[in-house]
Amino acid sequence: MIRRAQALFLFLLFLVMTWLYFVPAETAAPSVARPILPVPQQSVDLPKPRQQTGSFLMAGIGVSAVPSFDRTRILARADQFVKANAEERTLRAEHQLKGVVSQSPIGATVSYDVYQGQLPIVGMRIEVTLDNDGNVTGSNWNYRPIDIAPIDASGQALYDEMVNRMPNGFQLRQDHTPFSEVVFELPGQGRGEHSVVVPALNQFKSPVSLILRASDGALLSVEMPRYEVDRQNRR
Amino acid sequence: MDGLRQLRFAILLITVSALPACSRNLFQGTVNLPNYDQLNSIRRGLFALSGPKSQLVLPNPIDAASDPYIAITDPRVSSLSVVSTLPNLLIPSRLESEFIKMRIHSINDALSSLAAPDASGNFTYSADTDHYSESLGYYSLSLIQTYIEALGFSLNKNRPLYVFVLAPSESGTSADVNAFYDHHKFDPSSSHTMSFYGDTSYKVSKDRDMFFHEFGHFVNESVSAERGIDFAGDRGANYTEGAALHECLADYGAETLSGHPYIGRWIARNFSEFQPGQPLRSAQDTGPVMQFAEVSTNDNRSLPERYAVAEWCTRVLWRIRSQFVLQDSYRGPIDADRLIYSAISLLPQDASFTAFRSALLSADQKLGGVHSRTIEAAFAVGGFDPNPSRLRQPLSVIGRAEVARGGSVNFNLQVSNPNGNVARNVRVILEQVDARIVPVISVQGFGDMPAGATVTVSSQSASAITATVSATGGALFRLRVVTENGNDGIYEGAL
Repeated sequence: MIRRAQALFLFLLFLVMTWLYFVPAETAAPSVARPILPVPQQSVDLPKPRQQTGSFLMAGIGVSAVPSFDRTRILARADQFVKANAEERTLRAEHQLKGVVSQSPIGATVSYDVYQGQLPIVGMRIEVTLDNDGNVTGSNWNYRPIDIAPIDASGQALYDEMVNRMPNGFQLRQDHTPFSEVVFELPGQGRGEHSVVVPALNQFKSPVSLILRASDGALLSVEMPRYEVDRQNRR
Repeated sequence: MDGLRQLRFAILLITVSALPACSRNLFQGTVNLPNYDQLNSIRRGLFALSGPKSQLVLPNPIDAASDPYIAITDPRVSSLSVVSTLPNLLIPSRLESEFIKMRIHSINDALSSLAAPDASGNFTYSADTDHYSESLGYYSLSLIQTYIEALGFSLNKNRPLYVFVLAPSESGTSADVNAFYDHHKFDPSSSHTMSFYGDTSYKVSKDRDMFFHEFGHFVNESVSAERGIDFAGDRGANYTEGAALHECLADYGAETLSGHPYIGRWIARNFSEFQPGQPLRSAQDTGPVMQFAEVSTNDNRSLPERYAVAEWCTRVLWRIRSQFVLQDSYRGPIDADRLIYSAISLLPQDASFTAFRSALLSADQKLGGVHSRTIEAAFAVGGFDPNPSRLRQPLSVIGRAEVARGGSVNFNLQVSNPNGNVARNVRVILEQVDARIVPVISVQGFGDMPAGATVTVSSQSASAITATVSATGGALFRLRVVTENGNDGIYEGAL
């Protein structure tokens, strides 16, 4: 009798330990069962090196290794969370996500850039934050299921076209900084424009990057670097 | 006997079952303590066990010699140099790691024109050469990278960092002194770049702390998961609190790692408004305590300026750090740095100083610290009110929008604070409501507007708001005026 009880205890213990091993931490909190929309890829390759960039572009070499962290596991947790919310957030199958883990002593953030094909979509990203126990503590979905304008031209011919359409007040930078192509989301318009990032100088001769619409060269945005001496108000 | 076997089996079962469960817990449920010995060694520059050597004057000749008048060509300079290790070179003949790529002028420099080791494998150059700057840059950037990672923060090194120690002048004058960090946030297939300008007697790239500072911008982006703590600035805003915060944190990184509360004694020699030996910015008050209102106020005569506000901010951080050091001179600087960088990880997009203060308090709590009063006091001493009184009414905007040649839209506006109290952290945002108008520089920050003040927003000023328009005929635009202590003002118009 005692042996049977011992055997039963061990069996139950085994079941409990097995359950503890396999149950994900997230199930500790009540969750709603929903079909998981298959996201075709949770990560994509970096865009192909551009024709004119020379040898400086390289494939991603990963985030620095901080020995006490398990980056792969953090990324897997965040991937799992994004997958579980993909349908509700209307994540489109043709939009791929590339996740990067940022870790600190008080937690981690996985930020996803959004791509369509090889082109990054400027202005969209998804962010998942996790605490040091690996629990998802929050997310920020700066994502919209936009349509992308058709891509008619690409590569060097397009870049040459953009040089001829430099907007007023800007001039092309002569330091051989390469051009590249992106999709720029027009806020509130529900669509993305195929665009070219052009290195330029502004009226203060400061280096900037212009985002020009590929179809007509319209200026959509300006990206400024960090500078130490303000050329407008010298200090 | 049977009972003993069963006991052993049970222990084995429990152990075997528990092992994988334990191995799953890799998220470090508690906050790890830093390795203070290792971190203090890094701070002293002892961070690399092996690698070629270089002879470097640290942080720069003026500080090394304690002589504000020393020149780079002074014969004493070489005697001030110390042997420094250059770690993690991909190949021994070039100053490149997997992440850091040193160049002189541009990404297209011939490799044969770059620094190369001597017969003994070391990079030894006279301090007045560009190859010396390459060596100093590689050493300095490796040091700060190692330190930040050892503190427990990952750096996103998916893209290489190219560093140009003497970038060709874009403005047409070789004496135009500057330094740029370009994250290329909107172009994730591009490298990060760091460019030092100015072919003068006091080149920026002769100062280790300037490399620390520029790398600090990369750290800010990386630790904040690239959400854009100054997203408006990335998109062309001339002034925002986020821009000042970016500079402040980059300065703080250089100052704490150097162990002195200032930056830029060397670069300041290029500017006539600075006395020899006077730093570009200081994290410590030498007279009356710098007040937030002195640097943040915009009454149309005195405009907030990102470096002035950054200097105020570093003084807040240095007060916090000083308290940590007072409590424990060995661990204090490291604990302060962990707190401040942890706070960066919590900052929202387009962060404000109110958000930063909250992030510091939150980070302190998560780190199990008891420094909330120190943090609150550091801000309070600097005259920062985290809870300014509410405005009775939104700020008002009058003005006009004009379509210029090429389809650009210029906004000439007057923004007024009709209230009897200060409007905190005023920003004007051009929102897209019509497909025909695309905002280009859509946000500008104007600091704190005193009661009754009016600020002019001119299309000719650095704080211009701009857009492009494809067709007029009633194209709509919307301007939103935002403050931290009042309701938004919304103004619409048509072209």
